Amino acid sequence: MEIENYFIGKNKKEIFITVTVSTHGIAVTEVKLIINGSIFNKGASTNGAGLISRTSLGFASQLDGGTIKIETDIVLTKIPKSAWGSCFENLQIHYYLEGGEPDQKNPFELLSAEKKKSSSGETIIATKRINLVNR
Amino acid sequence: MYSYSTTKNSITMKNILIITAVIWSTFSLKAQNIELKDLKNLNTPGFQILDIAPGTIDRPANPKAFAASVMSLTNNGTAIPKNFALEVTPYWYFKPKNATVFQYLNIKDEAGKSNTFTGIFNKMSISLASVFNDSTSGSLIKNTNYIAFGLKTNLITYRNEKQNQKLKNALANFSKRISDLRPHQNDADALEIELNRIDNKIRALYTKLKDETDNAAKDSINTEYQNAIASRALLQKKIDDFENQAPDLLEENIKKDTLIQNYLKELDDLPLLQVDVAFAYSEAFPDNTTKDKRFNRSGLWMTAALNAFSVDKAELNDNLAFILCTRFINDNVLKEGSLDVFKKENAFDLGFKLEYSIKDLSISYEYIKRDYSDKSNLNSERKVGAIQYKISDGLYVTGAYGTNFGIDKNLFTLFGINYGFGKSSLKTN
Repeated sequence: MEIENYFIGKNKKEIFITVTVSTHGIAVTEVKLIINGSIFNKGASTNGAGLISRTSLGFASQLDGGTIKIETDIVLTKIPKSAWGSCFENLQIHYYLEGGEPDQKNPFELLSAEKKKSSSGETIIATKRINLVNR
Repeated sequence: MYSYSTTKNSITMKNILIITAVIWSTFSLKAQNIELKDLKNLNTPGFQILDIAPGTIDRPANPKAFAASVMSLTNNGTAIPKNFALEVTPYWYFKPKNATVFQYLNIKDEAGKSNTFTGIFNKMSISLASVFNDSTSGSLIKNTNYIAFGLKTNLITYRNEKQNQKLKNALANFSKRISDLRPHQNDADALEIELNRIDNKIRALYTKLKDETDNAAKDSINTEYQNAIASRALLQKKIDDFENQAPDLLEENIKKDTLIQNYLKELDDLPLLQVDVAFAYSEAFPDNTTKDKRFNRSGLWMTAALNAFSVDKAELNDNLAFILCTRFINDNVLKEGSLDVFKKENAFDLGFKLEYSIKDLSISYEYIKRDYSDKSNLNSERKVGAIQYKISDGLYVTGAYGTNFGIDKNLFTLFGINYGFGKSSLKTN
């Protein structure tokens, strides 16, 4: 699994996350921040499309060494069974982070190793981890 | 799947029960879920243009499977394939950007943007079908292979404000509920905390290693650093195993959860208005050879369904649908008194279907009148009553009786069990 880092910078800027999901399935996204031995829920989508609107993760000075874990569960029950395979292949998730150092990778994208499906193909879980670090 | 028969043989109740019992015992455990909407969509334009119901439909999931299906029909080019049905939905072969559940279910999105017309692309399907009869049946002549191509799509799916809100609420409730169904959350959180701790340790050791100048101290830090990397690899393996199992466990929890199943059911609510259009073209191959092939029939049609009536939606989950159907047909009709001379005629079909569904039972009656432009003696009607009952998930019984288009031998009977497993049909001649 690839380790991805977002450089939050050393100033006191606020760091934000936005998540967009492209699928016709029902998608539910949850963002968690793991830091100093604790887990904090930072937000969850509420509309079935998996969208996390611009959400604050906190200030850069408090986030060094943290990891954000973004889990998206996708349920394809309402999609024809013959299309489940295509839905898995074509799933796209973009993770936009802002407030950190300029000129770095943005958005982060879902990698193929980060999505798993059930034996039937009806349920997909996509998990992204991004480490928040200072250089 | 479905079977059809045009004989006048009646099916006794005893036979029905025996067949049902056999199929039930053989397949009920293995049955896959088939939605009622899938059953209703079995009539592809390619089959409708031939006035028959399909026995089997192959739905390849990707371009490779589609190519394989087409290749398997060609018999290495030695014969024209017969009795097949193939349906593809090209939309799924592409990678849509910004796809949402709102577009697929034709619900207004968060920004208030209507998705009334999104079905034009994402529900467009192409069908290929063939039927070969060894006896004359309705408008189909014996020993002739009819091959049809069809295209259909959903032009309009309109939901009113109340329906939009209901579906949005169901999606919101689904989103809330699913967080309770995620498997082994405490274990997952513990693994995440451990992963974060090791990552930070590795990063700290790396910095320390880089800054250290004393060789002995460097060796000691390096050993610790290598051990941390090894621990991380082990932990990653644990997380991978956990994540590989998670989709199956979540799916299991979803299937077992009554609340979330109810939310999913609410998403099946029919729209107020649904308009579908279709085009189909068919050719006839007498004796299944290309020697005397001829144009058979082409058609362009539209169906509009209004789902505005119910006795008690909340309690009975019932719906009365009024479906209007219009169809223009260019038909190649056998000349009177001749066995092999045909003449092109234009026909116009106009009809309706009334369908009342309540819980697992649906009863329908359809009437379609076919008028030819200059041969009124060929005018005919299709009058079919049908009943469908869902025995269990993935197991349906369908019966239909009436008269099909055509002047003689046009009795139409259908009895089929859709058990959602395999593709063999159950014939009841």
